[in-house]
Amino acid sequence: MDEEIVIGMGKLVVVNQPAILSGIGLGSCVGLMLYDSVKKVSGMAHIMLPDSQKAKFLETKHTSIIADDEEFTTKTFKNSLIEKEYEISAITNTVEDTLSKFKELSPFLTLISSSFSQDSLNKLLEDIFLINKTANVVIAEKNSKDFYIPYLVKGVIDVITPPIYKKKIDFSLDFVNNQRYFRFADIAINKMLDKMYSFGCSKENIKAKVVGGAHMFSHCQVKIRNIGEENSKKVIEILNDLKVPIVQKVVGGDVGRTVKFNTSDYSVKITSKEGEITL
Amino acid sequence: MEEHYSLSTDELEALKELGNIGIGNAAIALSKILDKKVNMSIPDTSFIPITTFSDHFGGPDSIVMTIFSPILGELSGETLFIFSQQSGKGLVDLMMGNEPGNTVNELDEMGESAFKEMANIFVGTYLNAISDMMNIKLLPGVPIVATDMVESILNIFLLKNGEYADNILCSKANISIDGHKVDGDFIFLFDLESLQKIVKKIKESYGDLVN
Repeated sequence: MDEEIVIGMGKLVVVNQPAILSGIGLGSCVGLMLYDSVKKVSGMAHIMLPDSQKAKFLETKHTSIIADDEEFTTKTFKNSLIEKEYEISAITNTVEDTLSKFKELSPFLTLISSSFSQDSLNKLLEDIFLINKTANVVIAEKNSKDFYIPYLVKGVIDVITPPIYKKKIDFSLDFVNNQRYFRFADIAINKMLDKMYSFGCSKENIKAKVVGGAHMFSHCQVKIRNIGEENSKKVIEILNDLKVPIVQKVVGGDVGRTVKFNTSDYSVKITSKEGEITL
Repeated sequence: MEEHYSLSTDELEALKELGNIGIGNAAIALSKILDKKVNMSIPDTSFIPITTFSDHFGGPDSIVMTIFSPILGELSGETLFIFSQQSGKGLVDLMMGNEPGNTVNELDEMGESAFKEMANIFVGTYLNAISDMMNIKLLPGVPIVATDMVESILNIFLLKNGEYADNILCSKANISIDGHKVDGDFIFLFDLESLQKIVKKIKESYGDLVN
């Protein structure tokens, strides 16, 4: 059984290894799945709102911790962070030190290089997410290319795989900086495609599946904004504009759905209070 | 944790107090109607990240009975009751004068209407208390009942705030009824503009809190 990565409201994950990507309890939200069966890259976004035009976020202070015990990567991390206008609050080189600084500073971003031993790194991640379930953690995996799904399962936003160089870190930071906008259809789709291109996908091979967009309160006399329809319409419209073919779509209705996307065969399992279907 | 409204500790305290008074009154009203002792916890007012919101209500895919009712008038916001299916049905039974356990299947029209009435009374009293205190007009919207997965319903509840905040300022109070297995949550929130209005109003009436 492949490992399951839960994509919470407003999150986005792209992988190039077998995993189950799941969006739980999609009501008016839309679960958008894109995949490239040639490069074997798949992703899911849990979209909440149609349009980022009206979004008005307050600025967040971008503080960061760098955890690494090698000079070369620290330098590369530092340069990228400074360019992206992050404040570097601490640089640590042991697991214990990282955790205590994390507790003390509660940084916006924690950038960890996996030169630490696997066990101690796992423990560190567990502790970090115990303190703050929504901590932004990016891992620079040094040792192996293939071992990164378990990090994503734990809640890490992004994993940089070897070889590690500045461009990859920059790309990852861009992903983190934009993640609060992943709840909007327009930005989620763009960033998901960018991420897939970074895995070597080409646009001609990318296909889409769309699930969700229900109208949860349809049976009542009062008019409630049908945000589900707005969401699914917007997603479909953007995909059409980009000429990404939609191979399956299950949208509308008035039930919440849980969708599980198997990235080894691109099958989709949808569960609702009414039952279960596999597409 | 990042907080995306700029509220000082005192302003947050004032908001909490407002919630307490509203909830207290509403619990008394509900007690009277049911003729049972209704226990309400002191509302917990805090910032909750959108991405983990449903974890506070039994996980994203647990099926719950909810009543959604918007706040209308000079402020705008949302209220939501969340009950497990068993608790929700139990509460409907109590409203209808039956012992909990009577309603087994889906709610019928009468049951749904009783459930809505409960929300009307509760939210109405809660808003009355707040409007009296702040001297503004507030009205409960028409309540809507839905039974489905928590996360799918929370979506509607979080919609407006989701456009500008990662963490949402939300108050949550636990409701339980003595001797009957009825246990649920009442959550409410205001949108950003309304929060600012409330804080301004409180400052006008009770002076600057920072002194």
